[in-house]
Amino acid sequence: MRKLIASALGLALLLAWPFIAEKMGAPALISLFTRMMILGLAASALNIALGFGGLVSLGHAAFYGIGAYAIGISTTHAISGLPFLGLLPGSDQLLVNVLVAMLVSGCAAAIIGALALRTSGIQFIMITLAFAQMVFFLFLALKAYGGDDGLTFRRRNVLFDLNMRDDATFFYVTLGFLLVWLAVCARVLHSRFGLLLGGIRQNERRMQAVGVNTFRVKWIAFIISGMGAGLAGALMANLGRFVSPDLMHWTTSGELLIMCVLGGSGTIVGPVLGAFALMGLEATLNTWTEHWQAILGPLLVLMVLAFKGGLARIGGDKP
Amino acid sequence: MSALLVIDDLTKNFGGLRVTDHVCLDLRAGEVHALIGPNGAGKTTLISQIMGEITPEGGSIRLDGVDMGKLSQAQRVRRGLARTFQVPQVLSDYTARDNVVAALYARGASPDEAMQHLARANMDGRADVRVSDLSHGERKQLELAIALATRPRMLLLDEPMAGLGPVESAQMIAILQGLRGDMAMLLVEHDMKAVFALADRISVLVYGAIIASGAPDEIQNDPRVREAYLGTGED
Amino acid sequence: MTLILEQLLNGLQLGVMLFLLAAGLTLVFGIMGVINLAHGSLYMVGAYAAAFAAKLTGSFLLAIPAGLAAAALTGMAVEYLVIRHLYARDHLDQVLATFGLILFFNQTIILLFGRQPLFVQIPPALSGAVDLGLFPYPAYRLCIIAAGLLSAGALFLLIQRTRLGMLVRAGATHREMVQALGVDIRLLSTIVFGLGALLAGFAGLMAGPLLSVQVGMGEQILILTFVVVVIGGLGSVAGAFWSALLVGLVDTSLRAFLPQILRGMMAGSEADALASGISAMGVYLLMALVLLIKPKGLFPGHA
Repeated sequence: MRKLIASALGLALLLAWPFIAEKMGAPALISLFTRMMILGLAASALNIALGFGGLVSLGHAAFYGIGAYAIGISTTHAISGLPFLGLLPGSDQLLVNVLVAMLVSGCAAAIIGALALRTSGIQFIMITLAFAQMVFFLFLALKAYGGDDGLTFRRRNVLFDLNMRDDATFFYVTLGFLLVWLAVCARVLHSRFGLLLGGIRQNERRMQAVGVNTFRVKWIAFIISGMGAGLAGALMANLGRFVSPDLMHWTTSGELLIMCVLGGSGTIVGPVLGAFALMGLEATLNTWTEHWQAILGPLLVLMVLAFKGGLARIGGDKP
Repeated sequence: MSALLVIDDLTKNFGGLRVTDHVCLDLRAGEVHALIGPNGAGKTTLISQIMGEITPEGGSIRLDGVDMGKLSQAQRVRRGLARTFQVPQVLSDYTARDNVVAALYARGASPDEAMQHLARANMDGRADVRVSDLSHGERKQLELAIALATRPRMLLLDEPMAGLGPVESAQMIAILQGLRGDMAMLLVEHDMKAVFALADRISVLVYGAIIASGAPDEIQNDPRVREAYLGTGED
Repeated sequence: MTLILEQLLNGLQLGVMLFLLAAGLTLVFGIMGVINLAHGSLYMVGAYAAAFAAKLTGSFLLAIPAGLAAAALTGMAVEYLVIRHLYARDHLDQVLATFGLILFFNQTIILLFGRQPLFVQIPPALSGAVDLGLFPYPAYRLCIIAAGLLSAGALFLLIQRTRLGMLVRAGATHREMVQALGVDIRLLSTIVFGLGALLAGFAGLMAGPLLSVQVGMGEQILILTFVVVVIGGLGSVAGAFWSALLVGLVDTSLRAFLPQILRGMMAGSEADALASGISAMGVYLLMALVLLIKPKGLFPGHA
């Protein structure tokens, strides 16, 4: 019951946020919150693999970046009128592009996941990080789409007749996507699939012994997780009307992990709260000093060391 | 009686150690076959090979005439093999019921079956207790309920009595008696009271090799067995 | 032909550098079961300390001990303050804490030295080229190859022939037994960690005159080192050695030869674009291939 009230209050605050920010005379805070929601969505996507499947992926920035590039590439082709690879026409429709972004990042997750899941533990962490770096270098080398300069496009994608140029409108669009995504997560995790995935996290050997193809369950979780990260990337590309390899810098993968753990990796909403907490902390530290990472780093170390048995204990309990 | 599970010439080495030494074993449908032997004789390793967790170097394992060699663990479970673990491998964040439900989902069955499998292991009264709150004995019974939920024809039991007190042991023996006839069982066990209460036949495994096989009274009187095992193992 | 040989030497040079990093990483994993993302920071610390000492004194010879000492001491301090509390933790905690260390080290270096890269001169005595009979080759690079191979040899001797090495080998597989022998496994861990840091710092200070010394240099090479460790097999120093050479050779040859090969097949600009894409992904694709064939790596250590 307390949880329900807290969720309702949080949602009410978000719904009112654009008005509050206007009243405070700080409209820039609208876009800051949009960014927080987008990264929160990415973190909750990572958490399907991390919190529910026990898969420590340090490579989700790749799927996030691929989703963003799908938007960038599709939109620039829509503007230029030239088809992609001479075959596929671009689009400036948000819903079309979001689907494409999720599809492409899902495919990337399927390939990387199929390889990385052949191992576990430390190797899995190293391999996801390495493949994400490969994707980073690939886009860096992709001169046709801007190389390290990235791609800029003038207008956000079109959604019905909404004025997407307006930051408050885009805020609500993002909130809508976030809520739908969280509902999908809740649905997936409370299904048969969710029960099996949670079982694998707790004891993979047991699940194999009752005849579960544990590789396949983990693989599907990894793909869904990658698709969610792609959705977040698609929204981020629209927010800034800009994509570049920087989006998939490996530190983004690390920050997404922190968000999950900070907010509670055992819950569906936790990572979103974690994103707000971490980005809020970063923004606050940033007002003190530009060298805020020199404070955040040790803070992170202290948090890990202080909470024996894992940071997750601060955020909340397992479901 | 026809043989359900036929193990022929099975061999496995760990480094320089031969843990399974040309093992041949026939398990008949519906019988309880006990496998005894001193610690480190390779009993658990044999179960792991039958299940496909460990790949043997030579020999074959057939269930109902079908070669299991190339099949994955999941495929073997679907064909009717199931095992329990000596140290309970249960999902500690879930309730007892959800542990069984996970096994049911694995074969696409309805979660409604869960209570019936819990009941057969005398765990229906504890269905909604979280596993982390269950006693060791209850976890051993839950192990059994999870295995039963896969509908095995051949159940491999890895020391079901290990760590149980006298009351719990008696209860476990009664539970296993109740399952007799519904499926064949390979009972790996140190508790001789349980072995002689349950087994139709007994095989003795020493240093990876079967040194004797036969009815309980034959085994009891076999001088080789007494020397290798019972002489020191009897309490 | 000479071009090929020259590129092979370049690959060897990258390979020995990667080995110096991979050896420390894999030893630390082997004996302590820890994943240390901040290993690249120690490489950076070595490079910066050496660059700074070279600038102050004007002597590369003095820069060497400065870089080594800075890296080793930083490494041991990090082990003492942070890493030793992570041995019993799960990998996620290790990742988060060592990620925090990276943020700290990178930002501290920016505070101390600014964002501009430092440039280090190749020591004058090594700035020329050595005539190898078929072609001249930069003396400094040759020196790196020699130093890297010598360090590798010394490390193998250390592990195979000394009491410390015996403890390292035993500690990796039988932690409790080593403890039961009355060995202070904490001290052993600190020493091994310091040794790994020393090797990383050595690589960093040697890399200084070849690359620009800048923030982020550690993570770039760290990720490549992960590729080496995955290909070689986690926990195996010999595996790390062969895999480092393989990765160095593959990376260098792809970058050197692929554009020419592709230009023979398609238009120049397309060939260059494709070649730069493939060579950027080359070693990662190699890793993918190894994972398909031998998921535990080419020379798997212990589990």
